[in-house]
Amino acid sequence: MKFNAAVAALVASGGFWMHLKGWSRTSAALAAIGTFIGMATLADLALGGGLGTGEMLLLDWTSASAGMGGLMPVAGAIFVTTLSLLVGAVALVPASVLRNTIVQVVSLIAMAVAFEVLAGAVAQSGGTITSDFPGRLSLPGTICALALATGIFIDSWRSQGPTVVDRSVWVALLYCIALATLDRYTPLELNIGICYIPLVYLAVRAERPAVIIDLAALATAMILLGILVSPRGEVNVSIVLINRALALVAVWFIAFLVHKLLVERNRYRRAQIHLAAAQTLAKCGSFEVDLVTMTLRGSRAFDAMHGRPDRGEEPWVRFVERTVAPDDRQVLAEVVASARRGIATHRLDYSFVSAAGTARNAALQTQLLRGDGGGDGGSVTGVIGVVQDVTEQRAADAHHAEIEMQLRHSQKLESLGVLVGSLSHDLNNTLLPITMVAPLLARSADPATREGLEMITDAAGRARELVREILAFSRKEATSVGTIRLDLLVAQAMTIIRAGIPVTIQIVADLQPVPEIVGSKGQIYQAVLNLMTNAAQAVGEAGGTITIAVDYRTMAPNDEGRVCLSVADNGAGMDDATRQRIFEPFFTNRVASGGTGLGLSIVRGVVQTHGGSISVQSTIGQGTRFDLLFPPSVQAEAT
Amino acid sequence: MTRNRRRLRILLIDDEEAIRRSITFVVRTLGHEIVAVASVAEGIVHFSGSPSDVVITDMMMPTGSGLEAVTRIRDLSTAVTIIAVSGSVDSSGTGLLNAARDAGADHCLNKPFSLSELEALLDTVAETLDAANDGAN
Repeated sequence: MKFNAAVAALVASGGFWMHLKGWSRTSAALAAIGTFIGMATLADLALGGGLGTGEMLLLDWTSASAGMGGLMPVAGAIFVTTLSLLVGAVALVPASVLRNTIVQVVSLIAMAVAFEVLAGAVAQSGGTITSDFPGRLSLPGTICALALATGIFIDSWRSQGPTVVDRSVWVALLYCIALATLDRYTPLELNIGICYIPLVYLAVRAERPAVIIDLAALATAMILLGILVSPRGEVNVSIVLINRALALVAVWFIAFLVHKLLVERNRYRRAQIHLAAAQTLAKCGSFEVDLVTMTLRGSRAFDAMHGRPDRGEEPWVRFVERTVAPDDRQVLAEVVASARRGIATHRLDYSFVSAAGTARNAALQTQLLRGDGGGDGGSVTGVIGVVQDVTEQRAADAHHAEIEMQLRHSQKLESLGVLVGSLSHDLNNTLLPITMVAPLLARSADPATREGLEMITDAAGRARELVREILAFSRKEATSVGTIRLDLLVAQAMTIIRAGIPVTIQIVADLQPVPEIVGSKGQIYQAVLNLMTNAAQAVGEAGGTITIAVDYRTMAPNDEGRVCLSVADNGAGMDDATRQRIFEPFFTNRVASGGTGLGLSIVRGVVQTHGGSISVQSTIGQGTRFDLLFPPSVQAEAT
Repeated sequence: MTRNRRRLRILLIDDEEAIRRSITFVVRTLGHEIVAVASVAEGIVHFSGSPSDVVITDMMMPTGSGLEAVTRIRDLSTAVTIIAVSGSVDSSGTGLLNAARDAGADHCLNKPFSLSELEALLDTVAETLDAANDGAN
């Protein structure tokens, strides 16, 4: 009976609600159903009830309009059809001035019709609503339709922002559900009660404290309306009033409690979200160990960090064994043992295995949890730990330290270069009297004196060469620069190179024709000589092979090629520590054999002066290989 | 080397005592006249008083710029042969020598130069002057 009206309004208001939620298709589908119901009813009425759909739908209006001829059923059917079409229009047609104007006009007409029906019902009952008022049960349906039309109107009016309208639709929807489930003879108090329970439930689900207040206001209105309507007209007025007053108190008390609950829960959830975000961003996690049960419970970030997807409680010992690096298990176990004795851990570094299975570094701090309200006097019941993943921080620190070391090293070299520059100036001045005077005296000296003076001249000459070498190292040597074919240069130098190396060592030259490079022949020659000497010493007197090769290489596609000069030996090789230091000035492991430690520094200096690069590969027992790469003077043409 | 060489009048400007002494000794032994001064100002005063055939000047001195000496002496005389000497053979030294050449120096020497280098240079100057004299005569 009243079920029919409820279904019609339910479909329309449900469709509108869907629209407000942004589910346009569902909304349109429901609107289509509502339209179908309305049209079917109209058709049924036109055929004089031949289809029987009028029996199913809008029966209330049929009965309510008993005194109004055949107009009211038609009006009711048109009413439902119109509302459904409106919902469909709102759902499917994008908002525009035209759409909104039409929707507003039509929904205003729908509201007017609804008021008309209400007024008609009241007029028919002679101004007083009694228990045998035939239209009573259609009233709620009409009111819902009114609310729905109002909602559509407001929504269309505002085009956006469903919050206000949303609630009116909720009210209509929920009340329709309640009506559909209640028997017409159910006392009104129970109606209200049964309605109010799902309303409170939904408000809690919606997690919007404001809604519960709205619902309480609605319930209040319904209770007051109930007093006015006085449905049976046969009840004791005083009991009714007391009942209603108690109902009001109950409604507001529940509303107050639920409101408070919702506010607190929202605050709690928000705090949780903030905490989780803070921990994730700070690469932190927190956990709590209950000292009684010895179980661990972690924050979301902590669980994600340590691969605890279940997020449940885990025995502390098992957690430590599962995730913490073996070396650190003892110290970590000590954290809990200390907590038992009332000592918090200020900072503990340990390694653990992350969720991804990689080793990470962490820093841990703890705080004690005390019983009896958490004051300092209470006994320790648990420990809270905050863990920060410091892996990247550590790596950055190490990198920083290395950069700083390199900087200091290059500063040292820089100051050494300056020192060498000024020292060489002084040395040159000091050497001049010797290189000038000694040979002069030698001219007129007797043979023995001349021999001595020549020794002095030679020594001064060697000293002068040494100054030049040191200057070359400090890369300030003025040298003539020209174009060089490395393969030709090495070929020309082979005789001299061969002469300086023990015959027990075989020299293999693999010289490919290469493009010219720009540079100083003298410097390159010096570099080659130093590398060969170095290789010969690595091979040793016992003999071996040194391979010197020149070729042209392209490192990467579309990249310019490089002229490569490499010197490889099959000598003793060197370890990594040595390999990293060989280019340092004054680093030598041949102190006894008179190594100055400048040879390879000079090589590197020469390569850098020429805009090239040098690399070294070495394996102990297998030998060492130096690769010098120089940019060609003119880019080789692509062939 | 027994031919009769022209006796050159040489002015040496160098702040280093050891350099002045050794070059003075060598040049006198080679049979030339030499006056050695420690600063550019002294050198210019001396040159204005009695022009030399050859001026040997250091380029880097705390007592004055060798470049200034070259410029001012070249202003005073176009005939004099100027030898610029630099003690540092790095890029700044090279730059100085190039600048000296632009300012009018005829020859450049890097310290420590050898006896033969200086001797050859002085011989060349002497021969050139002789040839000029012969031509004039």
